[in-house]
Amino acid sequence: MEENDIKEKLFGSIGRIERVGNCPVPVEELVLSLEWSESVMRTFCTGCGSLVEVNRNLAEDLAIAAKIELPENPGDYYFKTDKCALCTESEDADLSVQLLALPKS
Amino acid sequence: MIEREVFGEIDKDKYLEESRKDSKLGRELAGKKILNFRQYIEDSYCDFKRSLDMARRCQPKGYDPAAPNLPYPFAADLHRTIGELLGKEGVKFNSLKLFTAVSSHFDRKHKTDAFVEVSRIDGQGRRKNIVIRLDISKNTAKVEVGPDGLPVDQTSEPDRVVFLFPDEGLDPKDSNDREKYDAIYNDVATSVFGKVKLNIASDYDNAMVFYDPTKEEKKHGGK
Repeated sequence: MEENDIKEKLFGSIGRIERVGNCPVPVEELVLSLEWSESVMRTFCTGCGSLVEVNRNLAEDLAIAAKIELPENPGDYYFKTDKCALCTESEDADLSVQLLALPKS
Repeated sequence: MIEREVFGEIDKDKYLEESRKDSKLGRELAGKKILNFRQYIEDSYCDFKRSLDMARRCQPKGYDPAAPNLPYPFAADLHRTIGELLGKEGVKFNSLKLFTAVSSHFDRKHKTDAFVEVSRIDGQGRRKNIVIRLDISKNTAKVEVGPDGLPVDQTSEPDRVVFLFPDEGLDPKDSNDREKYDAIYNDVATSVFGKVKLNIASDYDNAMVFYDPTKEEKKHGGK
């Protein structure tokens, strides 16, 4: 049995965050230093209010979905989406992605 | 063939990557990747407190952290046993919750498969939650095994219990497995109880993990 199978059998695995929509951007948290060594920037989901740091792999996919080139200095920006994998079950859902400049501190 | 020999060949991977960026199909593929739960968790990160809070809010449908039951008998047995031990210390059973964190950021980035939360009122009358994290390990180097062959929790972290569970699983309905199964959840419950007790004894001065969930819920627009 795989390790994850055992864990799921013992405790179950987490579900999705409830999607409430129109969550306000936590401006003060956007400008905090990135904690994870792989992080290049953050993305915020207005659907569920989750703010996460993302690595280059996810940042590039977000840029493609937003129809833009990932900036050379991604740390000066953040993505804003209307839904994310934490609150949405279907991978086929229409996704709105915007790249925005970080507020000046 | 001649063209390839004369002019060389394009880098197929780069070509596909470039065409993906410019096409509707490319955007759809990127959207699917972004909305793939497992991939999203691998490619993103939340700090400790936010990971804990998100795991609390994402419990499986029908699962009650205050009363775990089927289809998770191990969680139910563990919760009940910890509750009985804490009850002897005057901690109310309904102040104890057992949450899963499997497949979450808390699991993938903070080595926490599940966590026990005990809600208490501290010396100043403030409600605080003690959180003890559980980590199932296949790596025997992480867990000391005692003379009885059972895992002995020896992590120095005051908020974390690491334990071993056999790769092949254990069926509590099978009489051959039952003894070992009982021994594991009893052992884990004892370790959790010891760490909760230490936190209570210190009246939170040295508590490693505590937070006000009502504050977190307000911040995230929860109920």
